Amino acid sequence: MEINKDLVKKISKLSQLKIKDLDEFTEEFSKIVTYFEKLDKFKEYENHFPLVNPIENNLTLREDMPKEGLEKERILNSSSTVKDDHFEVPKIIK
Amino acid sequence: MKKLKAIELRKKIENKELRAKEVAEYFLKRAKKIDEQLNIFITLDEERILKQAEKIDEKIEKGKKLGKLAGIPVGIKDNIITKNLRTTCGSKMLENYLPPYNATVIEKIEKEDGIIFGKTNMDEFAMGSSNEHSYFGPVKNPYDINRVPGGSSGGSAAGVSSMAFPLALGSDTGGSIRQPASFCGINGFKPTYGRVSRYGLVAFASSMDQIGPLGRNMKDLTLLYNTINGYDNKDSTSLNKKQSIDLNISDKKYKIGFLKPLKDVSVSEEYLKREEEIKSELSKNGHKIVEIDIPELEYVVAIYYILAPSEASSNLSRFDGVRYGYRTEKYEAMEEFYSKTRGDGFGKEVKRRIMIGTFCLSAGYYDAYYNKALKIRSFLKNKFKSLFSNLDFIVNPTTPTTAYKIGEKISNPLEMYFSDIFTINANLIGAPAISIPIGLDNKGLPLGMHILSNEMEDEKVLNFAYFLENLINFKGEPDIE
Repeated sequence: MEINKDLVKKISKLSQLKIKDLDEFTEEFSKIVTYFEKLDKFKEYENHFPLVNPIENNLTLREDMPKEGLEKERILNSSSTVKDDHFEVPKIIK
Repeated sequence: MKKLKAIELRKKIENKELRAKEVAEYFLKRAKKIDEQLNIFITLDEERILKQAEKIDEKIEKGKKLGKLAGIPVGIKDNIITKNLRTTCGSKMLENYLPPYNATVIEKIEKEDGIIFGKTNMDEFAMGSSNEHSYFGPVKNPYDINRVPGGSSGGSAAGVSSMAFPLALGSDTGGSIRQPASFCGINGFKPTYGRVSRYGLVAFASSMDQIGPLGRNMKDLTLLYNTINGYDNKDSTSLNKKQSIDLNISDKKYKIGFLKPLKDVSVSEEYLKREEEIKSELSKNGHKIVEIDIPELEYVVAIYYILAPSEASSNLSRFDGVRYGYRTEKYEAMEEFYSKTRGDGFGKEVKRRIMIGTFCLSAGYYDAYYNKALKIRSFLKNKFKSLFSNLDFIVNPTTPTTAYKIGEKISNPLEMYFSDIFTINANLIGAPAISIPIGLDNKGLPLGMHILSNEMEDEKVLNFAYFLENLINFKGEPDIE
């Protein structure tokens, strides 16, 4: 699998990450993805289901009861820009 | 005071031989001196610590019942949320973040009168094996300050090892408790997935993250484990079984599988020699020793570095600069706002892993990488299930080498990833595992032995580690004041 700068640019856009040293990043990225090709040798997995949760049947449910949440003021204080009780963000369409 | 076990300290506080405040003051003084040399803390709030200690003294004065951890300082890895106490995850992104709530483990420690003793340094967002990926600078190994303490719970491990605090919490996604415990000559335990609530642990890879204790001896470590484990309705993967373990050495004879050397992974002669000695002691004690071969372990690093970054790329999308955390100042529209905030706020390794994860999950690559890795994970889960139907424990070195020099592997991410080869497996299958110190190499650096058991067998693996602790009688102590 060839990893070139265009692919890295595409991935950085999908990740919403500005990458400064694109050449170095592409080289390292390429080495890591090449290493993943090691898995091509492994053939015995095909009949297995994709395992997301390592412990079987451990998902529990609880009653969905209304209760006090966190204080609004306290939450808004964590943001650096708040206006009229809302988080302020830049305009979305130029 | 530094030589006392946590359980002994608690006894002395309860008997009024020592005041909790006196203990806190002693450890604060010591911890600050050690921090200057090793950089173990990101935040150490003296006033808060002394206030907590005074409260415990008041309780004693009034004759109230004391909690299990009364007056014991516990270092907390800085990815565990503490209400109104800065929590940074070792990142510029959260440099000034004051959480509005506590993680469940913090509530539990405080309920048992433990002292939240500072927030410890770590690899940014728990991504790293050397602690060199912290925005707040690397932690140093107490046995040799030119070497890494391991990662990502490096501050917690170095702090316990250097006796800056008797106990600490870490988090372990691929070895981040056990590997630094091994490098720093202490015990580090990753419980079965779900034993300890993840509520308030800043998520890295949710299907593998687990909080666990680090301690210089098994009794102390188990005391902290007993405090933090148990069901929590705030974590949907939390197991509905509270454990309260009283360590004991049983007469039970076990069948123990020692891992045969892996292809392309060399382990030091010194480790192998110690392992042989331990094997023969175990045989003398009536345990059955077998050698086992697990060739599939060759693939675990690749599987892990597909799955963990995939989960991370999703988990870390919350850091967008809007509701909390760092935000860039110069931007025009929304997209630039996001990419500059995240580009400047995250360090190199975190960006690399988000990118790998995004790639593995993206259209056209999902099946070839993420889905395939999950299927192999399933294969491994079955493989270990069948191994454990015939074995009690699987033993191997915690790491291929002892602590390496600061800077030695930083420019080669893949080489750094390989140092997790022996620990990753426990996270992929959700099983409990512990690293215990078994000796020192010829450079005076600690050697760690890794014991894995079947899922849910936390008590069994802790008791066996306790048995080994008594058998091995490790006396290593870093020369640091």
